[in-house]
Amino acid sequence: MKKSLFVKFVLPFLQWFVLMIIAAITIDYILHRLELVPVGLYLGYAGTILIIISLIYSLRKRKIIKSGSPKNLLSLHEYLAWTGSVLILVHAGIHFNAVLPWLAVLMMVITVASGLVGKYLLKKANESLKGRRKELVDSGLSSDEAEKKLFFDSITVDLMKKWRVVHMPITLLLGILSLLHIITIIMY
Amino acid sequence: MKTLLLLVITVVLIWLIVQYPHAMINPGELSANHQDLNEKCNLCHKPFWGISNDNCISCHKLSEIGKDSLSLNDPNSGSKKILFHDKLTDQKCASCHSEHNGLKPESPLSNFNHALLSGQLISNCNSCHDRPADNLHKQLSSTCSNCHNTEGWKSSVKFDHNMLQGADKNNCASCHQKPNDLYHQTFNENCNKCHTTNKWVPSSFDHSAFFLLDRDHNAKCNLCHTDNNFSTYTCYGCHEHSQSNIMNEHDEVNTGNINDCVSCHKSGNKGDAERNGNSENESEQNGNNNEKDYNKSGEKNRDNKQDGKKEDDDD
Repeated sequence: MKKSLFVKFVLPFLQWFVLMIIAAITIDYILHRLELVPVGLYLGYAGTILIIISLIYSLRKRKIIKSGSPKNLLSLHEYLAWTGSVLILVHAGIHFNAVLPWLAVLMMVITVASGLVGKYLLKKANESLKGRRKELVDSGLSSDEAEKKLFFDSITVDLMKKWRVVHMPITLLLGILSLLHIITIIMY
Repeated sequence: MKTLLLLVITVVLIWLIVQYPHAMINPGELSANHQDLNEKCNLCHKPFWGISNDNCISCHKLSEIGKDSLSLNDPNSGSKKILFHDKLTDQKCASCHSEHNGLKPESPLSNFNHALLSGQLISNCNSCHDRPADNLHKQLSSTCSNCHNTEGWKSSVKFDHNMLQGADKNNCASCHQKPNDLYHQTFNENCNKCHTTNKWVPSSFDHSAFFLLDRDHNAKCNLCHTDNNFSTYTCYGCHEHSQSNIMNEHDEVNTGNINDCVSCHKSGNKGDAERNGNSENESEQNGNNNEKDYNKSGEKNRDNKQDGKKEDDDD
């Protein structure tokens, strides 16, 4: 029996997302145990710098800069942004004090999730759906019958296709919220 | 369209921050006594300038800080000794104190560091701390920093007995309690016959004069000297030595006392008894005078040490 797209692709994607949360909680726990909580402040700086560096890929993609392999820069973008997000989650900690920084954290988490969808899911899931549809048609089913059989897989892929719609504007919003957070910290 | 939307969102966010700073950017609850300052960030914070001392001092007069709380915390010390804030005019209040730690923060002090104090204050510990009134500190004329550091009163204490002055310098009991075991109670002499001022343990007491503590017998004192009495002992504390085993082993010797092992066996070595050439009668006699011999040996041991010391002095 063939595994559904959810089991085949979505669950492996989730492990990266969960790993980010677990890594952040572990580092935060260690800092608390070693009484190094103030280090969390500096992890915010480090995380921000990593994420800013990862945006070189976006500049290359939009041809604002001309040099550098897009493939390598994309890889750098993925890993630096993921690591930076872990550090910023540690920096945020589990404190529900103010709305602005938490909105920024929320946007960051959504951005990471949508980025992981783009990296791990969309292309493979699309190819897998097409392949399975072809198999069903080849086995004698009509197009409509094949579509019915693949109903949930089609919905999953359609949802994944919206990742870019989410990724870019949320990233911009994250930038605005982060900037306001930094400005208010400097102000006060 | 997208740019306009982002612009609108940015403007709305800025408006929310200005209108509701407590909800939008407050990093944590103010302490219970400062609750009336909620939503009034600019009373303490000057934008892009930090927190001015003047705002704190307008309510908290430096000469009165700690007048109630600090003296209550330490009833043994006078409040005048620990009211030191009026000497800290060059420091930012926020260097040590921080707000936004919650309604009941564990400590109002966030980061006190002695390095923040002026040279005059930091070199004179007694300007803030009372000198302890115990016997030990009464005898000391040295500066506190010879033993203590500013990381913690008890951390890295390096005490040197040579710093002691006065009549009690050679009276160990003025600071140290005499051990309450029966062995130590038999001595009224100076502790330094066995112990040095570097370390209490090990002492120069030579246990091998009574019994050699070899690898197999390197046990804790109370395994053999039960009942907190070092003038008696038993060898029946471990599985090797049971009374029935020892009786069987000593059939040929026919010793009358199987409790005073050391009178024949000066070490854990089985051949001790033969080498010492103890006879049955000697063993019996020794066994009856176990305690007496022990003390006598101890005295002999000490006499030998004194003789040795005297020879050294003569050299």
